[in-house]
Amino acid sequence: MTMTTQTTSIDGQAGPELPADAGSKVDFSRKVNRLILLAAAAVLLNAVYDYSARPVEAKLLDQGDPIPEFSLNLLDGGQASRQGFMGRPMLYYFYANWCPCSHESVVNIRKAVEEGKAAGLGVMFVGIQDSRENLEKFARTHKLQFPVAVEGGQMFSDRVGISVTPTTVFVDSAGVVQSFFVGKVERFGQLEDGLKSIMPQGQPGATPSPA
Amino acid sequence: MSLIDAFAGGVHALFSIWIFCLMQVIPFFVAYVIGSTLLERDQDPSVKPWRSFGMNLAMATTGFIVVFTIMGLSATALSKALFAHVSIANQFGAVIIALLALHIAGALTLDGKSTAVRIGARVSGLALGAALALAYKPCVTPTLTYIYGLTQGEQTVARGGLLLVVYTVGEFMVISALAAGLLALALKAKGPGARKGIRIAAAVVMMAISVMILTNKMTIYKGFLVGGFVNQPGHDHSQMDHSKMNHDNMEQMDHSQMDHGAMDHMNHGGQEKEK
Repeated sequence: MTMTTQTTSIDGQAGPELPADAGSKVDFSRKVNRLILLAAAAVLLNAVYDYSARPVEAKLLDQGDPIPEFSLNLLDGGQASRQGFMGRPMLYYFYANWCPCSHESVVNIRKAVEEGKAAGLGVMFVGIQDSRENLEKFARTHKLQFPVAVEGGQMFSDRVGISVTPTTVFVDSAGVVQSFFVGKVERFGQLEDGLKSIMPQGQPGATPSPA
Repeated sequence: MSLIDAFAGGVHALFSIWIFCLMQVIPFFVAYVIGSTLLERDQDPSVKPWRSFGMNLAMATTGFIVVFTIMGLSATALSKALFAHVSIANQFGAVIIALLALHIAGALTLDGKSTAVRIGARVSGLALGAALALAYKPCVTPTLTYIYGLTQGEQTVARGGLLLVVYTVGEFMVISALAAGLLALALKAKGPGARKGIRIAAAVVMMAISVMILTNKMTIYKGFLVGGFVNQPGHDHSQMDHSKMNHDNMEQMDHSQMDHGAMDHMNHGGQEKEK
């Protein structure tokens, strides 16, 4: 003889008759459901707690906003902060080693810096969304002779409002963001407007020669 | 740039090196669409699998496109608000992905007969797509570079938004075709046991991205898997860096026909200047 049990669905209607052990299976299934939902609630509570205690507020900067404070660990072992780059126009180039466009834009970033060197243009390569090892590999691949931040970039990018790579941020000598270039720099000309916005008028490099 | 250019740019991304950047989305999206379709078939054999697939696909794609587009409209207050809270939104998204994975695997059960539950399960595809869009950090292709140039400017943000939608639709056309092909193979699996095996495999893939988002380890996936493909021997970036890049070659990398004179002035606030 087979034992059966009556089931009831969530909308209260009588369900089909099931074998007796089906009742215990349903109970077990409900317990598992509760356990999963409790775990999910715990993870979310923890996320909310972490979020409320986060040290850095993510913000999409606009033209005219000051570049926020940052503390970056450089490839050469040094540290970089905003104060160290005040008084000179700067390019902040946010890159990731896994991103082909980050690699392919370097040639034009390098050219921009060379063109603007006389006017004091500086550059900082800021690695994000990648491991330190890979960010270092990027610098080695391109034989970069510029400051390369391999730690702390993610926090900095959150404060500037950068979520995609590559992104170039143009900051003037007063530390004010003047322009963004989001994406692959295919031609040097794509950087010209940004460079003009941060170069002192009449200085060499204000109107770099075309590629 | 025309809508056709944007669409072609999206399609082209799947047939170029940028497919590796899209690996942040493709396996997890496909796993959800196939897993949820097989689940519906196992729960109710009368369900037509391709109809179910179409619904799941449409929901997940819509969720992705809406959030990805909002994130891209950087000139808008909505984008700024979302960016300010993206980290917590990401965590919520990861939990949603995990719950859906457990549901697909059969560990988290819902009463499939209830209309409310059915609607909820269907709408969950929107949440899945949105969650993947939050986690997706694209490598910005030339077409996307142009579009982001438009979305930065208050005058051009609407046009940029439209192009961004069309670009993403182009990407998802190809991803959908891939998912359809894999589903056709999955439907050949004989019996519920084999289908359950596929569902569990899909759930494992989805759980993987959920854990990576929750533990902030997407960099490992991108760095080692995606970066591993991008930095294959033969793709020598250092040589590319030092060579004078041929403009015609770059055109071949991205098939969109663009006015480069005007484009050079884009992306610095989106002000499209007259030549």
